[in-house]
Amino acid sequence: MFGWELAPIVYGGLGVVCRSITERLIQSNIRVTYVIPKLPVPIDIPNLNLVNASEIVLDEKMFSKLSINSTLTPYVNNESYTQFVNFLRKNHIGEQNSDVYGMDLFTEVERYSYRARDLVKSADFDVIHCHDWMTFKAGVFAKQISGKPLVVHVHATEYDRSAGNPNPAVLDYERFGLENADKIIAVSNFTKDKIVEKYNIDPSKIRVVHNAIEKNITNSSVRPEMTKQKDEKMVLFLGRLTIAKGADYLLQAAQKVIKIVPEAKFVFVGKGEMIKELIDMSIELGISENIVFTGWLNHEQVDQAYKQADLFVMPSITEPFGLTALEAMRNGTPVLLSRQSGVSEVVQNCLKVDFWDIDAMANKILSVLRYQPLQETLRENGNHDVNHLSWESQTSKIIDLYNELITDEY
Amino acid sequence: MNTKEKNNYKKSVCFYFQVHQPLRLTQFNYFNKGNTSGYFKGDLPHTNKFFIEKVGKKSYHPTNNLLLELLAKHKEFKCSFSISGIALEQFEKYDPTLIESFQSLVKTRRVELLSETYYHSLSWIYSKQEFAEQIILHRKKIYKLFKKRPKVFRNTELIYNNELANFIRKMGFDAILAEGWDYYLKSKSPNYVYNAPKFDLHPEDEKIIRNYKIKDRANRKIALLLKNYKLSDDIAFRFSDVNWKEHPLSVEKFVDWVESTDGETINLFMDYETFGEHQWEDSGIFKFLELLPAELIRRGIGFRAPSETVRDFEARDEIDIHNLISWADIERDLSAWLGNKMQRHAADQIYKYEQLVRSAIGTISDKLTKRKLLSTWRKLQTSDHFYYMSTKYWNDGDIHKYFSPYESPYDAYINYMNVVSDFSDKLKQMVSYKSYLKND
Repeated sequence: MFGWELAPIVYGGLGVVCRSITERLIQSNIRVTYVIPKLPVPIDIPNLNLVNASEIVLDEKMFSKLSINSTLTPYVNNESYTQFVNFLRKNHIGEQNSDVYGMDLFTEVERYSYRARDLVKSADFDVIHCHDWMTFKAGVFAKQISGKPLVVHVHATEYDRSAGNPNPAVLDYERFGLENADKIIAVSNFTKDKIVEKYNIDPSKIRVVHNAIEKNITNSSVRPEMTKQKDEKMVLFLGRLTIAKGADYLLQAAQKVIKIVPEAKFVFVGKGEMIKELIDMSIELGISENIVFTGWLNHEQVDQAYKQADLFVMPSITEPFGLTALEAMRNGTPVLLSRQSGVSEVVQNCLKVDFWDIDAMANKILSVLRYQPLQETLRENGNHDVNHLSWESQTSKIIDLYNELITDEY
Repeated sequence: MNTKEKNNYKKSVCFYFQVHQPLRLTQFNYFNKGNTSGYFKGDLPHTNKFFIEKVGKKSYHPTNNLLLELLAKHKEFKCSFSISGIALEQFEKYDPTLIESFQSLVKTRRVELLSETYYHSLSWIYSKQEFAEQIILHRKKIYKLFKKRPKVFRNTELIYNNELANFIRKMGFDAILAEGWDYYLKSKSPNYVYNAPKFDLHPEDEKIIRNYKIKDRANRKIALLLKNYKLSDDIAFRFSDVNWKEHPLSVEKFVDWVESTDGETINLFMDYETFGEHQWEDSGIFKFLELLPAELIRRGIGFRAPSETVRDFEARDEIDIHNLISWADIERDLSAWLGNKMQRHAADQIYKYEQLVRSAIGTISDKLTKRKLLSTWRKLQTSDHFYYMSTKYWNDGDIHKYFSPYESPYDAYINYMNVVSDFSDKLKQMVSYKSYLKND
């Protein structure tokens, strides 16, 4: 498995999903050799959304981890990567390690892929499974060396990440992985359709396995900084502040809602390249007093935010899945989802809207704030959807796929 | 209804078909009210006009024509209808030939019309005054269009209890319909005529009845006709279900069941849209209906409409139903309309405005404005609005979803509440303007 840090990360879904799948595979007696890019030293840099992953303990007989020193993280693009590496160099971080990082993202992906190839030469496995484009080339190399079948798992395409302005070099990596894969796992039909349409892949090669969410809820007494005032209404956004996540659409809807409910607060948790634009926009719209940008919060604070919110909004322009919606529902928070998301295929007890329809979005937000019984009914029923989706059943679909590949001619 | 003619059949089938179409609401967004041309148009492409035309074409017209043929062919054949006032209004507006078609059925004198609340409302639960008024409104409409005065009452979705039966009795009706639900029958058969037990009404309710009774002296007892839900639902729900072990249902098999069922009256109560809309034409439902009367008659089973059934068969016993029941879902209670907080809140809201509406009307002199205000409030009482908000089986994607024009029960609630709050804003303006004039 070519994956990512097995961390309970709140900053993006990929690590969480890799962790859940890996745990269930091991529980099903599947031995996992897990290859990850690993930062040589723990680093926490503001604005770059890096997380110190807490190590998890997995059964050693079933799980072996191969770490490759690398500066790759799941959500970087070429610009933020270069920024990051410059920062590392300036601060002489990681220099004691012999590896030299690629000067740009693509050099680093290449370096990672070749290092991975060398590493897996000696490993023993039946199926190769890799997660998102940066690991695709490593996966294809492993297939070439071993002759074993390759599964590429698509959590997001470049079209999603770039909100329609893809980097051609990334597209090449993605196409290379998709074309060389024996089977493709898409996290939603929304994503499957995109793979078929944009990459011209045979739909019969693609299997949809929706994400699920862990049931355990952390109960914590840690109170987030933006503790809600009594009678205050709070609408929550949580995600990277990038074009794809549609925070700007939510701001426009917020302006309409605030006119009717002046005490409404819109809390944006997360960071990203759009932060300045969003702050400027909230000032231009004359609603800056009602808008709070918190940056990233820790796990406990995020759960608190969910619990305090009257409504969680995911206004994404394009969202392959949208794990935060399930997190919100698990915390009993009413949810308003963009229809342009994978998660909307598997949840019913929430509100849905087309991200571009500002009036409809504002209307639904206002309704949740104004009509208490709506909020209560959504809270009561949201859990049903979450309980409906289990990682056990989703992982068993992945195992079925492995078995099909193994019993085929391979 | 021709009740003079003697009917010698010892066992008969009593058909009652419910005809109802709600006035579905237009999408009402708080932020673009300007685009709204009235609350009750429905939404393109699925406007109320569209529904009337669609259901008319698929169900009402072809079934009416078939029934006319059957009535001509078999002098024994009889049936009954309850048609809601707002369904009739919509037929008049969108497809007047449907009115003519029902009129020709009634003219055969073998098709009985039943009484119900004009707006197919839950008013019994919230306001007895409103309940009685809607019954009279419906009565007037039926007389105007069909020159008939119903003697048998059926409440919205067969919502029923002892108290309601006695209210209806005191208003002057001869009989009432209810669900033949086993729990209350306590091993009694639904296939006989029963009575409702006596129930002392609240003095205030007695007062209301005095203003709205349809005959001077009420009967001592009210007859009760109970739906045979097993046989009714074999046609209405299971007919085209390929997973049902009896599928496909032949006329012979069905009549075997009717024949082997003990009792005097087999009450087959169902939505009229069963024919052609819920069960599609290609399921063979029309053929089934076409062949059913001849086969029943061949086996010595006749037909009686409700009035005739309660006239010819003596009541066996009393059925004690204290709590409100209905014919909906497996619970047979009110949970399809008032099961969750949204539903109860929405219904509470609309009935909360009763006093305001009535006092506003008292101050308005213009008749048209008066009528429009009252009818808007009443159109918002139609039970379907609350049904669309049901989350009961929402997760199982069943029947509630099929009938709803909304994406989710939550959207149904939002839209309803937006309309109600707009209505109440206008109502309050009207009242405060009037009191302002008065005080001036």
